[in-house]
Amino acid sequence: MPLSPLPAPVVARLARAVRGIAEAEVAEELDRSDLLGVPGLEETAHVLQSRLLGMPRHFAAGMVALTLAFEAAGPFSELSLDRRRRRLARLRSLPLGPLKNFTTFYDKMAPFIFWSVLEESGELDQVLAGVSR
Amino acid sequence: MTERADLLVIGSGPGGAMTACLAAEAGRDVLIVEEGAFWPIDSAPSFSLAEMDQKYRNGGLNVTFGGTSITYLEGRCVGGGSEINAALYHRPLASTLAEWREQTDIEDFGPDSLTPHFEAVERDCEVNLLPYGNGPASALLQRGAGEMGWSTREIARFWSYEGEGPRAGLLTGRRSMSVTLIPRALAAGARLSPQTRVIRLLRNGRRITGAVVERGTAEGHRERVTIEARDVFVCAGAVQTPRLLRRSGFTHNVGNSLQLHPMIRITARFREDMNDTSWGVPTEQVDQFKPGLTLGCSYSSVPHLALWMGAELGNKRAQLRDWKRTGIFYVAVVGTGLGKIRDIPLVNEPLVRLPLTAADLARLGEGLLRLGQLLFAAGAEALSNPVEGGQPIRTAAELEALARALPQGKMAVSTIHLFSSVPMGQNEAVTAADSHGRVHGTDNLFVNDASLFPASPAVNPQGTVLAVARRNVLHWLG
Repeated sequence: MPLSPLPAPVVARLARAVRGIAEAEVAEELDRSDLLGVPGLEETAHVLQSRLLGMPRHFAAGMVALTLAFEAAGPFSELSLDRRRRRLARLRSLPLGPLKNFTTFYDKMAPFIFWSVLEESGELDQVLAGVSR
Repeated sequence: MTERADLLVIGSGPGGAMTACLAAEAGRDVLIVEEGAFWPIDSAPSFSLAEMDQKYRNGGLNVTFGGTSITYLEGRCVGGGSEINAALYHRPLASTLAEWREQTDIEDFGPDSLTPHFEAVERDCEVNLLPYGNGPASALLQRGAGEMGWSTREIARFWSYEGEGPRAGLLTGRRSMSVTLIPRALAAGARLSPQTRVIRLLRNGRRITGAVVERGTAEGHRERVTIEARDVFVCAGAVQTPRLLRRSGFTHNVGNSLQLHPMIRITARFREDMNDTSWGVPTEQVDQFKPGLTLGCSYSSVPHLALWMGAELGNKRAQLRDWKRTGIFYVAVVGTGLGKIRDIPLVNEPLVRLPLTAADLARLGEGLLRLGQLLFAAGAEALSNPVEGGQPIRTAAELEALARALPQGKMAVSTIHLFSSVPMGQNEAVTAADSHGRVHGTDNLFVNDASLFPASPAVNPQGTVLAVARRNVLHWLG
């Protein structure tokens, strides 16, 4: 069962937060400091948010709360990509259970969705060719 | 609103589809209700994001609670798990079926009595081997096993390879329930109600009189409907079946003994190309350590590689660029933990608690060691580390050290094989249903899915679900 509909302002804030995290995860995946010309970002963020809200409700509620809290510090989505990547890296190193679930979700799902979106749009090879060694 | 049927079948996966098909062909008035929607078989590519949205419960994001969270996948669509799994077909070992019979005292059950049912499943559901040999990932697995002196075997699939050329049907030939038994059931007069969730079963003493359901309407609303039925078969899978029984008041040995096949995946990078996704799912498995331990390869598209490579990014980036040299491989074991399934109050979600035991970790470690040995023997340069934050594995010594001490709670463990949550047999002290799936204490409530297994089949379970379901529904038909 997906989470019940959230108030519009919360959804808008959540969308910003998820977009900020998705961009940071894609930047990590591509090892880039900017994402100029990288396709599929909007779709990745959109699908990631729908995945978040489509989780079992007892997981989704906690994950949404953590995502909003993460956004509030910064705001995260307005930081530079490098600072966002560093902040996520710090979070990964913390041993706290809920935070681990939070980073695992985004670390796993954002790359999977990003490459899936590119595979579907036929842009995968083009982006792979630009991946730095 | 009230509807009526001779037989109400809840769930349209392999157990429900077999039940509905044979009952309808025997002339019974059958209504199938399915919580998910109907999606044509070609509505999304296999293992794609779109398929996960359409056909997986919660997009595939379900996890157990315990020392290690285990991600489990459930189909939620017409056809259930048969629409989303690898479609691999096995008959269990005769010794496994004999152990089940002894374990819970199942009447008229064993390798000999099940043989005709397996034969019918193989015929009716189009179980086939590849007609023109196997793909490069399977060949690599064979080569590595050969170097180690281990046996491998191509596993047949519920698949049709008809068409022109050696690659015909490799990506599109799935013979799931939505294209085999469900159409047969409908042709015989069964009715199908997708997007219909059963709230609870209705009971009058020992008899079940029907169910209250909530159904999606064409206008996008939900409507409550009472379905009156003479008999009810619950075939909603090993998590949803015990949930429904428990919320309908049936709790004796229901949802207390869930078992599964824990699986870990690693990626391996080779010097030469070995990954060709146009072959679909590699179907070779290492036979040497069955039952109990299965090694094989997975479908290895770039998105899936990204999912399973872990966080060792330097390695990951290189692998993604050279994805044709990289594949996903798995270790699956017979789990020893028993799980409990309960509903979480107010949120209408299951709470699945299942420990990954020390014995499970030891088996996974043994499997990882053997898989790594095989992959190095086949020419792997490096293996990904299944432990969070772990460095890639490049030597036998690193592999052995890792395999000896897999840590609790720090690995991505998953499964799509869940069973044994409503075990069958005549020994009422340890079972919830009798030898043919009738729930104890009732006259006309049956279970007919993987929930009934007394223990692990030690192989991909869909073939066994279908054979046991066929046996049980034919017994019910008399």
